[in-house]
Amino acid sequence: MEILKKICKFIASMKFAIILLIVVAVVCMIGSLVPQGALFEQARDSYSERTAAFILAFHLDDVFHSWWFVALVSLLCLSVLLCNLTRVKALILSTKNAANPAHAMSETPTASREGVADPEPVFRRMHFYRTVKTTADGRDAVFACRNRLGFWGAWVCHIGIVLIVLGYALGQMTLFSTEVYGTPGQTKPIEGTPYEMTIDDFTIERTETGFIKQYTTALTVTNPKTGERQSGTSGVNHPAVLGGMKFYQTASGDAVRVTISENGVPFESADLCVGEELTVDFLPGLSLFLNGYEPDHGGSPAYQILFFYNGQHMDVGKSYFAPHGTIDLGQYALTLSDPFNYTLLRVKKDSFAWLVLIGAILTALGLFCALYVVPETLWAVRDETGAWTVFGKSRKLAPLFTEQFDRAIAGRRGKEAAK
Amino acid sequence: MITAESILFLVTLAAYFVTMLLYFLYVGIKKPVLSKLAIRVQFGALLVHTAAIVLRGIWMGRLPMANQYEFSTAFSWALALVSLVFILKFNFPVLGAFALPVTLLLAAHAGLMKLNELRVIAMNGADGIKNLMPALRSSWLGIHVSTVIVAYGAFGVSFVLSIIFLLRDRMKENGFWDQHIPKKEKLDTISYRCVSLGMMFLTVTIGFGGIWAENAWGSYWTWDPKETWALVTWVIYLVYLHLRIRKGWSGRTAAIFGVAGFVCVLFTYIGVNTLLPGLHSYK
Repeated sequence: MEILKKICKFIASMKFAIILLIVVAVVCMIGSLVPQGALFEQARDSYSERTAAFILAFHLDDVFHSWWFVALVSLLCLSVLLCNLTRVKALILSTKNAANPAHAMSETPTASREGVADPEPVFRRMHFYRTVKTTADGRDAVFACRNRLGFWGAWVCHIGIVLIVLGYALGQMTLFSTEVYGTPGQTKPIEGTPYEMTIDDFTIERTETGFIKQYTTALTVTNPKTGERQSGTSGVNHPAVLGGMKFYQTASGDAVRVTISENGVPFESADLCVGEELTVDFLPGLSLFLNGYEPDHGGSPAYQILFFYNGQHMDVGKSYFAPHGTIDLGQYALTLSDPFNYTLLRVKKDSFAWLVLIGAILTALGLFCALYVVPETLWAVRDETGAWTVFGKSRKLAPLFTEQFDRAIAGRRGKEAAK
Repeated sequence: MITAESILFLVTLAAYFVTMLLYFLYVGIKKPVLSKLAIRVQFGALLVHTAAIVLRGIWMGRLPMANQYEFSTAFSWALALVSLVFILKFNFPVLGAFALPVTLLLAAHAGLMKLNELRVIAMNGADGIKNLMPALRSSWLGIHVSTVIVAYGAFGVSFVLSIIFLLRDRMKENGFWDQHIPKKEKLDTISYRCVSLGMMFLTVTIGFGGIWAENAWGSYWTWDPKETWALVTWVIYLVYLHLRIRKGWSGRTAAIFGVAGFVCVLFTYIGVNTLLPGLHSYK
């Protein structure tokens, strides 16, 4: 039991928290220097065998999701929580004592001055407006305190940090995220949900000189089972919230409409986005892959289309096709339209983002209270001669408080208030 | 307008250089009149610098806080401003002799970026610089960047104060230094005030950045190098604040963390942009 208490005390100590903070900072530095996730695989050849093995052994290629980083941050949160828990009693006591003239006046002052004729102007100049008349050892005394909220600043800040970490962790654990792309008019299922998304329109707003200002997708989200239907628009910096999910305008790219004709008579058309494959029903096993669109391929625009037959690349002698060009496939022909744009939206639901926001607000408020709301007390005691001795105490910033105290005693115009 | 802005920026550079020389002379010759002159020139330099930034904003038709030059010049402006405020507030002109070289270095860095920009304008025109990508066309840009500028400016002054704190140990007992450099306890307190200001603004910056990132990219935290290094900087200064509370670790150890914190600030600002490309790599 004694050992457990000692361990808890050590975990709750500032020394332990500081060591953990430094370790977290170092790990973050490493995580930013070593390429993370898929990027490490791409850069793996630039590392020696031994370095690569070391990186992989310690999950440094995905350090922020590694078990030991999670454990480290959890331990830090535990340390902060234990620290807060052990401090509650002391904080309540400090807050109460600071307002208790008898207790506060028994503390060692930060600054003091004897022989002051009238303490009231000093209190005013120090901006202590709510004074209490009291007695100290049977003598007349005046007392004031302020900024007791400052005692709780660090405590609130700690709670905020824990809420951020908790909200982030819960959010990551329950996060729903997928991507949907398509061209205007298309309806696509939103994988993992009962909803489907129809792209009503997609526009690219440009400046007079042609620079892109905004991408906007008008969309409708439908639940085919319930018939629930919601419409909205999503632009960069302005996500749409539909069906409890957020739709982020993430990317855009080139697309082409392929019209299929048989003996010169069009009978079907399909939109094909860059990076997408089109399976041709009338010739089983054949598929087309739109590899890209080049506005200037040898002086004219062209699509790069690759052909596959049963998954194998098929050389048809040509891979670049002009817009409005025709790909001849015997009795069938594929005609390509002018290029247009497809839109890609990220669909996300983070059920705990609100917790992170509350944590962030508490962290900022707590930090403000801890740094700027400094608990201070000012009191004055009358001696036998009728003159007053003024005392001041600041929990932080003693040198600055003392200077302010001296100025207040001297008076605004340098006129000595002291006898 | 680009010419007027460039001329104002050059005048600013020259004025900061003169200010720095005046502060050096003040420390060398120990004549108080030089410190008064240096403060006036610094004030004038700040006015010219402000005019250059405002003129750029008018020319661009947007807030001038979107690329490396704009951020760099704003960073040096903030450092000059915060240092001037602290010099006047604490009657501490020696601070200028240490703060102005850092200000000048940052302004010179901005100058290099400016040269690069002028080259780009000569080749391709100014449209590419004037027009921002859709993600940056947000009111969060001004809020996010202006808060970080104040934070970095405050951290810059705290760095300078930490250096003075560490040097004070090595300074011989001398009437001038004793009279013109605050005692270590006060230096530590002023540095703490700077870090407090910086921490408040950096916290708000990270918070606002998270809200903006959530709207723009769909995620408030992505472990992007810039975000990660902002967190590292935040943690270092958090350690600094804790060290000051703990007896025995305050003073010298805290000052060392004050220096380390600013090294992180510089890496977050310059190193990450140039060495670690990510979502924040706007050039």
